[in-house]
This record gives sequence, structure tokens and C-alpha cells, in this order.
Amino acid sequence: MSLAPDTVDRMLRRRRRHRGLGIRGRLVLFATCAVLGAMGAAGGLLLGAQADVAFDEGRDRAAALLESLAVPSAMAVAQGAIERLDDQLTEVARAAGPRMGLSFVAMLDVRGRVVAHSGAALFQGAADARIGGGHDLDPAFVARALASQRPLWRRDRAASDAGVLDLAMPAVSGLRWGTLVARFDLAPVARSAARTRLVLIFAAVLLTVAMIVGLSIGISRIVVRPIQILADTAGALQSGDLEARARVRTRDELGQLARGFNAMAEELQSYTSSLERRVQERSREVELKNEQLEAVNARLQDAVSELERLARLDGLTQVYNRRYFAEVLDFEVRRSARAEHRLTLIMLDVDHFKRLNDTFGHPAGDAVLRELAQILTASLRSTDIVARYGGEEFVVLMLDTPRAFGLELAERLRAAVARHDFTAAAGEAVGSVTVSVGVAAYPDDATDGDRLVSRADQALYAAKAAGRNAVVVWDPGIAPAGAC
Amino acid sequence: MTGRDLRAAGAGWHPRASVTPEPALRRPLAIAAFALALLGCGEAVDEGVLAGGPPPAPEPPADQALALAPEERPPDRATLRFGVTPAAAGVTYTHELFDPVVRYLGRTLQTPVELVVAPDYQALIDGVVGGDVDFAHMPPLAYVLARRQRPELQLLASQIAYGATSYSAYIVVRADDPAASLADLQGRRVAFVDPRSTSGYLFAYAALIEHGLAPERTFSEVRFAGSHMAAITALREGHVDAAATASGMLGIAARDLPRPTPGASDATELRILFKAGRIPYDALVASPTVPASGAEKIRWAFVRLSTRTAEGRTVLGPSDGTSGWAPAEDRSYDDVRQVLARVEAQRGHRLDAPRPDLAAPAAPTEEATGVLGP
Repeated sequence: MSLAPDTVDRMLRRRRRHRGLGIRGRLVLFATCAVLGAMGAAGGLLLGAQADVAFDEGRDRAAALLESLAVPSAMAVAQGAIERLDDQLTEVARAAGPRMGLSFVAMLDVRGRVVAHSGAALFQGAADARIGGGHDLDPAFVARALASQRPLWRRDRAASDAGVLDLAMPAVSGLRWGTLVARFDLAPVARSAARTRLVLIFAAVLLTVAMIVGLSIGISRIVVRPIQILADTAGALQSGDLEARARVRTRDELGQLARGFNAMAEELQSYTSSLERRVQERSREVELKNEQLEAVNARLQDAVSELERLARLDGLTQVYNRRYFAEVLDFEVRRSARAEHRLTLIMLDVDHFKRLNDTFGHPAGDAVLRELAQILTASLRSTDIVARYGGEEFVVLMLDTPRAFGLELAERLRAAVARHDFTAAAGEAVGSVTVSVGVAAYPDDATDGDRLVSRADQALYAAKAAGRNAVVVWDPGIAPAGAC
Repeated sequence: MTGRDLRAAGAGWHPRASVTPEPALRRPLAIAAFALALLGCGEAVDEGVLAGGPPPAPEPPADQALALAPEERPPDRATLRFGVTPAAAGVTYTHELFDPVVRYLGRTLQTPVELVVAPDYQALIDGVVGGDVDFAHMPPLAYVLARRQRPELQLLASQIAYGATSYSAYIVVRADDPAASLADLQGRRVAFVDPRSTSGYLFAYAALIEHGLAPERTFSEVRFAGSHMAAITALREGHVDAAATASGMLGIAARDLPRPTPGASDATELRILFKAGRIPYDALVASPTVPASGAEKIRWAFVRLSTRTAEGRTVLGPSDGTSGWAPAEDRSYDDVRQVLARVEAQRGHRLDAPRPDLAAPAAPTEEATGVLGP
């Protein structure tokens, strides 16, 4: 599979552009903004609530302290043990003062007069024993506290840096024996609130960082990594690696996408491989066809050459025909002239062939001719060219053969024929057949093919004339055939 | 949280009131504080009612006249009969304690009041149930038993003593006694106060049976001394090895009982061996014959009488511990009823059955009454 180079380039460019602030970057940015926003809002609420909680806790602690003092104080008043109560309250303020910011605690009787006080105020206030006297509590608050069956609290933020908290607790032991009042400075509460706030802020910052990191890792693992894998796989597929698969095994939408993607890649791969297979098949088919064609060609070539061979042969005797012989003679004469070789041409004719035909019939004559051709072919060398010249007349061209050797061969030939028992068709004996042979040689007797043939023919006639079954070499004494 | 509390919570910290944090943290805090300041109204003062606190203590109407109208008195009765027991220390002493109270009541109610000192707890129960006394100062168990017989009895108030509304039952031994637990009292001699005494008998009995010690079989001798002082005296003088009494009595005994004569085997030092339960103090009860409005006036006459006032301190001065009386509800005595039920289940008969049960094996009543008057 291949893509146009400019397409790939475009794709790569697009991928690179996405990498600038990829999906990871944007998701992490989004998560960071979301976490910061949520933590900011939650932190703001938390810090506000924390301040209130700190105050409530401080107030409840103070109230618990006062309530634990209320019944003993009531009992002390009931028994008139005021001095002891005064000592006790003084001790409580000494012990709890610095830790809880307890400025003073005082017992008021049912009429609101201070009967016991942790500080020196009792003695200052004792001079004018009036409601709300002997302490610097808000008179209205004290009046309300004296009338109330329930404990009251009052916070004055302006009274000190951190503000003050006034508490009033009814001192009841069967009867209402008085009211325990106390003032708490809120500085310790504010200090512990500030400490808690620092811890909270530190924890919130840690939590925020942890959440951002966690979310980033989570986003990365859950979303970005699969997408990256998908993108990388797509890239690999693009660059031709059809084996590439997105290894995302989650069950979520990305896993689904990856499975779809892998299925597509699978399909692509199988489609491509089937395409390749088909191309291979097709080329194999073509090869096969080529081979077949070649075979046909070869056969055709064979047929052609056979045809050519057949065209060169005589149909009855399977030796060359006269037309081909004429070509060869011409060629060989020219070649021998160039190479200064010698040629001998012999021409032979079956004696009394007409009588043979008449006696045994034409098929027998044909059989004699075929047998004669076989004897010629068998008796001669492979370089000798045998051809049927026409009727019962054959011609043999002996290449590179001087006249004397040609004559000897011709004589051998004549003798071989004379020795041979010819048979007609169906085994009928024909008896002996003889041939008359004329011999002419190049360049001794003639210097061109036509003349060589006619000289041999003249010699043949001479042999016929000499009584047949004889070999005659042309010599100038032999009269031309026409002259015979 | 009340509405006011909620508003206060919403207001958050006033910027001025918040602690100055580290400089690096100042900006976010300032923003948060600013936001909260916008949300809240920024009042310098807020206040509210706290959760918890003591139960409400009803007070008598300030200007109510408490003089009893004739129709507010029991029918055909010119003088109100006020019944008490010689619980603490016998008849003479009881008169010393209660006579000022009786005089105060006469003044306040504008009605003659006569103090009736019952010989023992059962006599007081019988007096209250039978209508022989019009109102009575009854120990808790006596009240519970009387009320069981006469549910129409009107509970007016509970006594406050030593500033407290309740006390404990003690089982005490001499300081040098080897006993370390109740089980060590096996085979010893013990003194109870009275079979109708709450701390001097009922709670001690319940504690003993809870520890698997049935008083009838556990002790070699059981006696009813008749009063707390008599029981403590019997212990100090070595007639018994343990005594059941009330938490306030040891101090009185240490102060009031005669010093041991030199050389006598009289141990003044006592030790608390066991402390059983909290018991509400004596009940102030009106007979059903007293009309409700009259009973109400008697109630407020008592509630007004407390050491909160100079008059109260004068009247209660000799009472040795009585701080006053607080309006009460019957359910305060439910604990006593539960212990009573346990003890009766163990003993197999009711404590307020007629006298025969007092003839307990080693506890002749004669002996108990014999030590009544000091």
C-alpha cells in the first residue's frame, strides 16, 4: 500500500500541529482549571466554616467549663460557703485562664450581685452592689441572663483584638441559686483557628496538586495514551506496516474505537493481502499462458520447420526434391568456389523402370524407388546430399569430394544397388534392379551448377548408352544428350 | 442551633477579629474574609442562647400572698399538722431543727402549724396515708411507700440539703476495719437505720443483694438503730462492724456526736466501704385532704424558704444542712421505686406490709426504738 508522498506529508504535518498542545495538554489544562476552581470555592467555604466551627468549639468548651462549675457554685451559695467559692473560682481562672482565655468568672446571686469573683473586681464592685456591678459585663446582657433559665452567650468583636465571649450559666441546684458569668478572650480560639487554617490551606494545596497530578495521570492513562496508541498505529499503517495494531484493551469507548480501528486494519491487511494474492495469481496465470504460448510457438516452430523440411523433401522417397537440390547446388557451388573445394555430382537413373512399372505395377515401382533412396542414403556419407531429380532419376552432390573419390563412391553405389534384392509391396520379389550413373565434378568438368548437372546427365546417358548398370564420368568426348 | 446562631455562623469572622496570618497567606485569606464580610453583616456583637444548661428551676410568684384561706385548709382543721421523722437524730433534735420552720410556716400561711414527730418511718407513712398529718417531710422511701398506698398524695417539693438535691447511701466501717469490699462483711454485725430508711436500709440492702449477700443470712447480727446518728454511734462504739447511712451524716456525726472518752474503745474515724446510688432528698408531701390551692401555697411557702434570703438563713440556721426546698416531680423518685422493687423481689414481700416483717431474725424493733432519743 502506498500513498502519494504529498498526502503523507500533509498527514504528518497535521499530526505535528496537534502535538503543539495536544489532547493531553488541553485535558490537563482543563482538569487543572476545574480542580483549582473547585478547590478555591470549596476552600473558601471551608475556611469560612472553619472559622465558625472554631468559634463554636471554643464557645462550647467555655460553656462546658462554666456548666461544670455551676452546680458546685450553687451548692456553695446554698450553704453560704462564699469564701470557699471565691477561692474555687479564683483557682479555676488561674488554671484555665491562659489556656482558654478565661478573663474572669464570677458568681452572681439571684439579685445580680457579685458574691464570688476570680479576680479583684469583687472588691471593687462590692462598694456599689447593684445589678451588673462588680464586673465590666454588658448590663443588659447580665439582666437578660438573670431572667433567663437558659445559658446565654454574647460575643463582642470590638472589645479586644480577637474579640471577647461572655457567658452566663444559671447556677441551679433544685433552686436557682444565682448565675455564673464569665468572660473569655477569644485570642486562644483565634490562634488555634489560624493554626487549623494553615493546616487546611496546606492540605488544600497538597490536595489540589495531588488531584491535578492524579487527574493528569488518569487522563493520560485513560484517554491520551489510548489515543496516542491509536495515532501511532494509524501512522504505522500509513507508512505501510499493515501488521500494526492499536494495543488498547480497555472496555470503554476508546477500547471500542481501538477494536473498530483494529478490525479496519485487519480488513485493510486482508484486503491488501488478497489483492496481492490476486496479483500473484494473475501473474502466475500470465506466466502459464506465456509458457503455453511458448510451447505452442515451439510446436508451431516445429511445424514450420517440419513444413520447411517437408517442402525440401520428395514425398515418395524422403530424400531432397529437385527444387531444394537446385538451391543447395547453387549455394554449394558458390561456396566451393570461394573455398576452393571440389564437388562431385553423380546422377543415376533406374534401368528399365518403365518395364518394371509395367510388369509389377506402379506401387511396386514406387516401392523400388523408396528402397533405392534408402540404399543411397545408407551408402553415402552424411555430408552427401541426395535428391530425387525426377521420375526414376536421382542426384547426389558430394561436398568436398574430388572426382576420383566421387567416381569410386558412385561405383560403390551402383554395385550396392545391383546387389540389393528389391521387393515390391506385399513381399513380392522384384528381383534385381540396376542403375546407370553419370558423374561430373567441379571444377574439373563444369564451373557452375547447371552445367555440372547437364554434364552428369550427359555422362548418365553415356552410361545408358553403354549398356546400362554402369558408371560413366563425363569427359569432353561425350556428346551432349541432344547429340546422342 | 437557634436562628440567631445560624445568623452568627453565616457572618463568619469579622476581618478585624481574625488573626493576622503569615504574609504569604494573607491574600487568599483576605479574599475569603472579604467574601465572608460581604456575606455577613459584620456586626461587632452577636449573642444567643447556649444548648444544654441546667433544668429550669421554677420560682414562686414574687408577690403572691401565701396566707391560707379557710377553704384552702383541710376540712374541720384549725391547726395544720406537719409530720416529720426523727431521721437524723431523734425527737428533741428534730424539734430544734423544725420548730423555726413551723413558726415561719405559721407566719407565712397565716395559719397555726403543729409539728408532729413520728416515732419511726412507718408511723409517718401511716399518718400521711391515714390523714393524721396534713403535710409531711418524708424520707424518699417513706414517700414512695406512702404514695403507693395513697396515689392522691400531693408531692409539693424536694428538700435541698447542703446545696444539693440528692445524696448517696453509704456503707461505712471503722477506719481500721480490715474489710476491703462488701464481701468481707460476711459473718459480721451490721446496723441499718430503719426498715423504711432509703439510704439507711433500702439502697444498702440493694447493694448487698447485688453483690450476692442476703442480709438475713450474711451477717451474724442485723440491727435497726432507728436513726442515722444511732447507727453511726453503734458503729463507733463497736456494737456493730458496719453501718448503712446517708452521705451527709458522717460530717454531722463527726461534729455533733460526743467525743470519745479518753481510753474508751471508741473510734471516731470512719471509712466509706461502699457508695450506692444517688437518692433525691426528702419529699414534702401534702395529704389529699388539703385542697390543691392550699397545697400550692404550702409549696411556695417552702420554696421561698431558702438560704438565698436572710430570713431563710435565720429560719434554716439550726437545720444543719437544709438549704431549702425546690418544686419537684414524682418521677425524681423513680430510681427509689426501682431499687424498692428489686429489694422486695429478693425479700419476697412488700416493705410496707404490716409490722410482722420487722421481726427480722436478729433485729428486734425494741432495740431500734430504744436508741431513739439521745
